[in-house]
Amino acid sequence: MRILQGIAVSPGVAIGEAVVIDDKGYRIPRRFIARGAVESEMQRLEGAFAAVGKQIEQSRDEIAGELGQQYGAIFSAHLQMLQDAKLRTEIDHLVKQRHYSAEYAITRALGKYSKFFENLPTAYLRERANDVHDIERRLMGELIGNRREALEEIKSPVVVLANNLTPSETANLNREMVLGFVTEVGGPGGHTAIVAEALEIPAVVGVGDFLNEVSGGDLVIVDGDQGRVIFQPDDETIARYEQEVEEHRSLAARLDLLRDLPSELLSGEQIHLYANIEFPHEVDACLQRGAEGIGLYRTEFLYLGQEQEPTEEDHYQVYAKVVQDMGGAPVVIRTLDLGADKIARAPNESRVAEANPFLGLRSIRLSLRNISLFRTQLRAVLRASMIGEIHVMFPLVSTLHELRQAKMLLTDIMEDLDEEGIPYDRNLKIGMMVEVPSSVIMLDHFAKEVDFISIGTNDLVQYTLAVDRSNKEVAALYNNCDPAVLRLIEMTVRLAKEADIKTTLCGQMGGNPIYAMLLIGLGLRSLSITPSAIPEIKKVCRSVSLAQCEEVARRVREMENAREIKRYLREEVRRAVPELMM
Amino acid sequence: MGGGRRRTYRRIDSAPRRLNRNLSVGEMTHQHATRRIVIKNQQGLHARPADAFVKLANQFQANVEIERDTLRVSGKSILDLLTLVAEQGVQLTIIADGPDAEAAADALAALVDTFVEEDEQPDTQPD
Repeated sequence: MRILQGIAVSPGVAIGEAVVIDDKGYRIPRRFIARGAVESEMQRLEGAFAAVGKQIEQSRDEIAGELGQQYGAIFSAHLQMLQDAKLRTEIDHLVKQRHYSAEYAITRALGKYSKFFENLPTAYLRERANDVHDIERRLMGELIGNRREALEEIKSPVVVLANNLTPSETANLNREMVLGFVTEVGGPGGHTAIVAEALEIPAVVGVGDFLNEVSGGDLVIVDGDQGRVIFQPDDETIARYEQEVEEHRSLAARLDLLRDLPSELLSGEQIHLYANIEFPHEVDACLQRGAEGIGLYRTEFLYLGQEQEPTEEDHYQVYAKVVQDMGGAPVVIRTLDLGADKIARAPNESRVAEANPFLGLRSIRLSLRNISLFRTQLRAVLRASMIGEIHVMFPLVSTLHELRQAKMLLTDIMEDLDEEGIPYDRNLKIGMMVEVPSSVIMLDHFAKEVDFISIGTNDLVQYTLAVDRSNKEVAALYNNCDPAVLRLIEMTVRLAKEADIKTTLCGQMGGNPIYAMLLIGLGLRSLSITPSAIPEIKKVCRSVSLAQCEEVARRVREMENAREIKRYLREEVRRAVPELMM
Repeated sequence: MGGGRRRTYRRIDSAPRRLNRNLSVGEMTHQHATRRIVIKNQQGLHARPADAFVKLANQFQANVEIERDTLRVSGKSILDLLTLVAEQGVQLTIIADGPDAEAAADALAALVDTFVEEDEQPDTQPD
């Protein structure tokens, strides 16, 4: 048994067989087979060699036909390597005598040669390693398929272990088959983490190097609550986690009963719970959990992994679907919130690698620099506003000038639509994210120019504490309940109240039950959280009174460090809502 | 060519190999043959010539090994042959053992001699 600690990004526990995908995108297969499986493993091996033989012959004939015999000859040499009797004897031996899997035996046997060639003194001689790699790649392709297949064609329930998963790969994971995933890199609040949470797949990221030490087929436990990954767990550990999975399930069933009950405190005050979503299909999860609306609709997925910028129609179709499916409940659409590196066609100047991307050209800054892209999105938002209650929200606003520019563009587009005779909601509410300390400090001014604000704690914490949350070396300094952050949240709530505009909090902090009492005590009445967290937060609300929450806030104001605060909050919620097993 | 026939060589290999392991025929038919060859083509014994060599070697019953200095590998394995890193000018010894060892050694030595033309053709007149 081996336990590794990573960063918990999506809660829950998964227990299952590992599928390993290395940093080059190959799936790393299991290393050993059962004694009784030698026969069938030899058949797989035979099948792979025969199929690759045919492939190489085909390549040889094609190339020879196109470019001449001399060029086809290289494939003839590849075929000779594939049929090398000495190599084959060795591979057969590894499978039959040492019970290596076909893949592992091939990797070991060919690896000796490729390593030898790679170490030769001249580039020309080192080229030979490529021939060996080519054969290995073909054999592996036959035996296990390439990465896309590995992820999309998973046929039995597994835990995916990878160096990294892109947001689109994460989004395409088959939720029926992928029980959980673990990555070597990544951090909380990263896009992959947010997508994992949206899919409700337990996930741990930022574990550090470990792929070399695991192999496909190993039993793995992913503890998405504690950020722990356990390889080849002992029976006792398995039993403990299986019980935990069962408890989670029964708690979820009990929380389901809360769906139609009002979200209010014991003392009667209403707490509005909205949902954060990333993909249109999540609307179902929102409705199932009893969300009052969508408090944060992230639109980045429209841009990610796309060859081309989304068109106005692309935007409109998904916005219209979300608004329609929400059946009249409000939907807050946040405009593009990405770094320049993530979109297909960024302005030329942004092609320069940024030394500090989090302080660079991203989000509203990028939109304002790339007006045509911004205009496309805003036109679609305005058009969709005829279908239901849509609010638009600008991210990462750090100066009044930016907000005014964005609003000016919106007015401009409204005039265009008027001229074109296209209808839109003239009372469309306009809001901004409060996630940069400067926007908190200047909030009395900002508040005169927006209809609502939403506190984005993920970025607010990062910018207040100057911590890159995806950097493992400093991630421990990233703390939602750092007193400095709490002061900014309280200041935001107070200034917004004075200006009589609505405040919601939409960071990941809002979905964690340990902060609920504190946030209510600090004056928040609206939270927008991941749909799966709604039942738990509602449970907390229905179990406490406003006086209790205000007392918690009062005590916390006197504390001077995050650790102390977190410990206290955990204790308070455990006492108030023992069922949540905090 | 073939002036070095029946030349004796010392085995410097620290773990000497059995040469006659595959012999099932009687002692009468057993032959042992060695040929010294020099790699003349510019690119050395790379994949394509090695392929041709192994193809030919496999047509004989005799066990065929190739030696470069202290290193000796199977002449019927292309992967092994490539590990000799036989560049232009390198001297190799073909060692054949078995009923058709003489014929094998002659044919293989002759083949290596043809590598010059075969290899230089695509450089001077590409199709």
